[in-house]
Amino acid sequence: MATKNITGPGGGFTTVTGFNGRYEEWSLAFDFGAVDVTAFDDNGWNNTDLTSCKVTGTATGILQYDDTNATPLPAAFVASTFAPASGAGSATFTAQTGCTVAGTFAVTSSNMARSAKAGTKGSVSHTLENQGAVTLTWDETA
Amino acid sequence: MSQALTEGVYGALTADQSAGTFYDDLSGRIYELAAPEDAALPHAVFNLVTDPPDETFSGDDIEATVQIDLYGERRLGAAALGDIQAKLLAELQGAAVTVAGFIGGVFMFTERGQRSIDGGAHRITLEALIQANA
Repeated sequence: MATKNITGPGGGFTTVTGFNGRYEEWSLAFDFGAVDVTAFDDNGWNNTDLTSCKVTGTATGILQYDDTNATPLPAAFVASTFAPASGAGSATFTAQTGCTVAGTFAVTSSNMARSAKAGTKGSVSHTLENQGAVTLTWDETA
Repeated sequence: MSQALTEGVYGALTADQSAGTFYDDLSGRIYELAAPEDAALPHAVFNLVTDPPDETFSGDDIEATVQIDLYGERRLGAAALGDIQAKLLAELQGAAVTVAGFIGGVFMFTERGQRSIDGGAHRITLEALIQANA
């Protein structure tokens, strides 16, 4: 099977329940917890160990309203008593059909923006970090 | 999709046909692309300038540009056509645009009016952005 580039329209993002937007872009960063363990016997060469995998994702889209599932944040999340349990759940980042990164993520921050200018759209973005293992699925033979 | 969008724009331009409106001032003479050779003045001509797909993970939205040219008799002066322009701006800025297959269509002017002379007519050119989501 010939390799194919991922280009053009497509992809997808399913966010943690309660966080909403009409998503247009996402990004993921994998940090493998590099620790410098360089010692005297490394003869002047740097030495690095990897310790744990932290996955940070961002998703950005259009702020929406007028639907039961349009609130950018779960209402309970920002109620009089902060409800942190509402801030985590399943999320899936899809690069192409059959090519996903999925797992349990905590939404660590959200941003909203609005401009009065014609042609602009309200925007929403969420930053997520993994809670435990994530699953990489890359359908290499489809 | 452009046909549905064109129908949506025409629908917005002709939505209010009551006395004293933009539509009424033109006696309904609103055309796409070009007016007939013998079209009386004043009249309006609109055309879809751009209609690129505006992709999201949930489907392709609309973010299209439409140009509207108003033509009026030169002998009546620019102010007469300006009154019609003012009605168009008041009636359509932020107005809903119904595009089949899409929701939340809205009409926003990005150019409120450039005045020029076109033969024996005054012309005022406006541009608007149409946004809607799938």
